[in-house]
Amino acid sequence: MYDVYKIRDDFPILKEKVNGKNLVYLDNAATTQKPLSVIDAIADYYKHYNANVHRGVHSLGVIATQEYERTRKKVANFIKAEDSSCIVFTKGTTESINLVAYGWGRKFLKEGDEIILTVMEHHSNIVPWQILAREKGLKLKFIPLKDDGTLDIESFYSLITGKTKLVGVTYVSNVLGTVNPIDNIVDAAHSVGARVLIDGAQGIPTIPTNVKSLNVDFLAFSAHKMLGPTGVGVLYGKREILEDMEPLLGGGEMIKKVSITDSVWADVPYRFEGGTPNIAGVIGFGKAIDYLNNLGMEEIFKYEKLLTTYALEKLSGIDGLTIYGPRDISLRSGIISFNYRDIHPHDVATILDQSGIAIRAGHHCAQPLHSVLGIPASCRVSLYIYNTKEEIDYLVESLERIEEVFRSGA
Amino acid sequence: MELKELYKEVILDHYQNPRNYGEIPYAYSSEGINPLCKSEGENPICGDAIYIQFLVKDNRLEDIRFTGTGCTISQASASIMTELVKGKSLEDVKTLIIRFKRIMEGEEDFTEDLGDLLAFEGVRKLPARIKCALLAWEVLLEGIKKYLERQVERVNV
Repeated sequence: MYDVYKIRDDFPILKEKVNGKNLVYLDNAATTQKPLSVIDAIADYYKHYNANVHRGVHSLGVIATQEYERTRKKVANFIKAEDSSCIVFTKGTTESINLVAYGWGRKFLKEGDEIILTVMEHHSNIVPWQILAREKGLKLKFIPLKDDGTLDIESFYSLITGKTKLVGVTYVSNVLGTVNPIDNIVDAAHSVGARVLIDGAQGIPTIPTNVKSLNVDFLAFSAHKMLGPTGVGVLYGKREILEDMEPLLGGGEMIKKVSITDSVWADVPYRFEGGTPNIAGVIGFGKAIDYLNNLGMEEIFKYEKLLTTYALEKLSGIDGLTIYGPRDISLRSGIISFNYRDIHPHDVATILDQSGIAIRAGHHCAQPLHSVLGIPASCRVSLYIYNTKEEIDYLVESLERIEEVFRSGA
Repeated sequence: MELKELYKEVILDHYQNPRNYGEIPYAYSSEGINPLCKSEGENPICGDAIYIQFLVKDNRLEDIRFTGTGCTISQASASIMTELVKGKSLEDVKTLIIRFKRIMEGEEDFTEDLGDLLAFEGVRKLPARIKCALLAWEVLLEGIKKYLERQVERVNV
């Protein structure tokens, strides 16, 4: 039985007051809160076995390395990867995507090659490709949206050609909440020999995922959007592709042998983890995965659908509130962006903040998408495992009061 | 903080009825000696945008207009600013902009002579919104700097 109130007890921050009110945290797409088990694991590492990894002969170094590597296995199991050597730790989704751009793209792409992205990508899955395109003379193409905020897959089929070398798609839009049809995209991309990169930052935290059955070539995601600490990300890559890739950072840990004239790269995945990694963060991430597994990803997925359905229904009932993205619950996740009358999202966010409610306002690092929608900015509510129906009711009441601020001239 | 402290009547009034909103008619600026100056800026975090046009005559801001999109604070601030700087000498405008920036950044205090700007006392207490209040001022300062650089170039030629 999914007991949200019991879950809330595990998150110390949810007892905080903000501006004198109970915190209602609805900005989970930006970063999620952390359970005590994650916070404790990080402190335990520093208190009891702080040491560098993969070097020490001494006991602490061995324990730290074991714990660090244990998380790699947990991540591999979490996404059903074939092997933990397919899991590279980075500092976040952005670095993971950049690693694909420079470690793989710079080596294998050449002038005239094409990359297909979507207009709903986060800047982190656009800008690295723009930089590489400028450097190598590549062509970027973008899959448009349909009116309901889903991808126009028919257009995608017409964009894809023999020149397409990579298709980069977000699993879940960080603005619209749209869940994209990864299997259709993978099939079409592989039929022309293109690789597929999934930005999983907003999908992996809530959707039970099997990379083997999805058959994606790369998957990038971040620990901090799934109860883990900031500064830890993952790049999953198929083993044979990672084997052929170049490192992004040269330095310690990523080499087998160094002479003054040449170096031999370390094996996958260590080749991509130059420098001392975020050891405490990775260990904390392991506990975050344990926490999610204990609840069960299928249960989390169901609860999020339930809560999202409730939120969409309640928000739709507010006069003058425009919701972006699909209405069909099977096509979307718990990220809901909207505008309220002609009140600027900044003002909405500031006024809600005075009621203790944390939402995001702005373009959410997705300016091209906002251009397509024809709006400069939006408000975004994003739900996660510990949010409740009562919090949504409170959000709705607070939204309805906003207009008073403007009508009365405060 | 009370919301009415932030959304003061003056701010809401300027937001709903912006002063000096629009563009300076081309004919008015066609004298070569007083070229129309333009400056624009965006807050990359939130997408607020301000476009300013101004006309300098005898080293004074003869006219100033703005357009833009953004929140109550950014647009009201632009409107209040245009009222305060219109007719002033460029030096006085620069001094006022720098002073307002220092006040909003907490390095100076509000004083009674600031008029409508006193309405921003509430905004100063919200670090996340200070950038909104300063956007138009930064844009005008940039525009004046560019204008003065061009003047120097012209003299040197």
